[in-house]
Amino acid sequence: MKKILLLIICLLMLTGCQPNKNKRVELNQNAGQILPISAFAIDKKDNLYQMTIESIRQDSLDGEVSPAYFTVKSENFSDLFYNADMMLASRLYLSHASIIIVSENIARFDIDNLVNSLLERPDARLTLRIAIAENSTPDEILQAPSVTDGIPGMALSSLLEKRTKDQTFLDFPMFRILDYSLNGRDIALPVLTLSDDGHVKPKSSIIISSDGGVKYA
Amino acid sequence: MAEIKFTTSLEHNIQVLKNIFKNDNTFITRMAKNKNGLTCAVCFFDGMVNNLAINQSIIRPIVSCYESKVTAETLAETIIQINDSIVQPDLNKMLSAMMYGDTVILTEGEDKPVVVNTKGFSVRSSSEPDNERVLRGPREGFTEAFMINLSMIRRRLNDTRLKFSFSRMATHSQTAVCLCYLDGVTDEKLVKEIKKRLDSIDLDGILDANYIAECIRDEQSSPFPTLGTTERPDVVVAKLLEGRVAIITDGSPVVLTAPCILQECIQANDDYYLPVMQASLARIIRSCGILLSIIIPALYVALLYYHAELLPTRMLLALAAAQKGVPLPPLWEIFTLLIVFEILKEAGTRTPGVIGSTMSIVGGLVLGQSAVSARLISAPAVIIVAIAAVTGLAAPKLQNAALYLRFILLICSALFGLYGLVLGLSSVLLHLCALHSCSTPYLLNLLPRVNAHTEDRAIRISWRKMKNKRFIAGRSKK
Repeated sequence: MKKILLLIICLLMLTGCQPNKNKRVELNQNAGQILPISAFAIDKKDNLYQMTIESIRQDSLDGEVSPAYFTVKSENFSDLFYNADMMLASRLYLSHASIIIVSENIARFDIDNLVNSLLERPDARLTLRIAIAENSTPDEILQAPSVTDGIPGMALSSLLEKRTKDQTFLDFPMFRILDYSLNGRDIALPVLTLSDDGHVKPKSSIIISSDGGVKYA
Repeated sequence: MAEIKFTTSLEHNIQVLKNIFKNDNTFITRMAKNKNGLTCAVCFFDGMVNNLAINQSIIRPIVSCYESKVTAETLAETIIQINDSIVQPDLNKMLSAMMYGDTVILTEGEDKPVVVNTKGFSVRSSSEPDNERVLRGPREGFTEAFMINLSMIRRRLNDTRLKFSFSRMATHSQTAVCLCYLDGVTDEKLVKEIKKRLDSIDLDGILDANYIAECIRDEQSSPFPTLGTTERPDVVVAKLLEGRVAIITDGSPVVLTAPCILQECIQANDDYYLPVMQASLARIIRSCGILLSIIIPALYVALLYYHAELLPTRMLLALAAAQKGVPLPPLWEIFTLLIVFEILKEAGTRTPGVIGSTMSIVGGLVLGQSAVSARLISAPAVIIVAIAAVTGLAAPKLQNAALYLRFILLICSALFGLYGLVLGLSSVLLHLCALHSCSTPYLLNLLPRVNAHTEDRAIRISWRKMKNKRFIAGRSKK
């Protein structure tokens, strides 16, 4: 009897651990689909934020994995994710997203807001990497075809991982950006650009100070 | 049994027996007389006795002897030429012995019968038990014959300290039960405890060792076995050498051993017959197998429902693609498949051998493959349940426990994800820590706090070191 009582008390203490129902992801939702997001690109045009999301689909077990893109607009970052949620049958699922491509403007002046709105979500990884698009829009970089992978976003993520390991780029995942910006320190973000044949190539890093100033590494 | 009384009148005594076994056509009374007037009645049950022994060792000596009148003692000691022949004044014991294959000899002028061992009923020949096959080692197994089983143990353990303590249990079946132990090695308290538990059994019939097991085991509600079972004489002898007791039941090839700890449920019979490295690796694989069997369905559900971020992206996509169009959610898929698998297993056990293999093909290929092709269930769910089922066979003694735990952990993980799975496993560990078998901790030798004085654990130690470091039941140290 005592053992059962102890078990029930332990179970009751765990009720707080159960995630909210609407945040729990189920594979078998309405259309039987889950839509993992591999990457997204955020730009600012005409005072509106525009987010292009790359989701990954596999329609059958024998089928190929293919990217699907859709775009949402809003006045702030939180509403961007909310609008994206509204467009989908299932919830926007960021747990597998590994890279965000932003314009230089956003990187210089809005990086804190972006990071904070991502931190509000329970599914965003702290190891997300943020890259800056140069000479092209972020969604052009995102949708540029990849040589190595059928999913451009995953190819970009692999590219950044590799360049970080060989120290072409400084290692600045989201948790480090948050840490440095909270302490007023400079952050370094990788820069991506399009080559002449339309593929993404890494350039250098940009060092962004807390007041928005930039210099190239 | 009813009170019966013999007199010195042979005719009266014969009539008493005929009245007891009225309408029983297997009860035979054969009169044996010699030339000098000695008259004896030889009583036995047809089919239970060795006819040749009766003819040559009982009837022939009586017919060819010269005495005209003999006492029961003279008959038993001088005339009857058989190895086991006693005067039995207790008439209830006489009846019990006769019903078990002995022959009773009554003589004129004596109220005491002579009971002679003439057992000759047919028994199954010894063969390797189906449930306890070995790669290397002896292949003898117990049968339903009581004395043959005891002889198999005696043959392997030529020690004067080996004791067999008989008793008869159950009011109607009067089943012979033997408590076997190695005096001086087995803890006396253990022997007394088991004897006490056996004496407390109150049944009308005992047809198998499990009747006794359920009456004397600790923790009736636990799915983990707290009494060891085996059909192999070499295993029984090994356990006797480790200070355990063995309970042999007449009519059952299964021998119970006590105490039973978790470690021996993971051991295999040929652990000590294979080279040490091979046996150690096999033990580790078995332990991993049973853990996998219990955890994998719950882990699958927990990861899919609560922790999809832990899955690699491409695996998640493959699982999601497999789930497309399947009507049941993953939890109910796993639940249903586990139940169907158990039903198939039960059906396979009960199916006659001839059509058993056909049914296996139907169950495996038709049901599994076709259900996936028809999108009734997803392929990953079939794989998960198949892995759980197959790996569970690595430790057959824990199959029952694995069956219960799979469902319990599945519910825990469906409710609370990995937290629930860990809570479930912690509860199982709590239960195991509290479990005892005849006052021996169930996790003896597996947990640091309850150490037996042996290093024979997950890794089997070599026989060179085993003599001084063998596990002995009852000699644990904290």
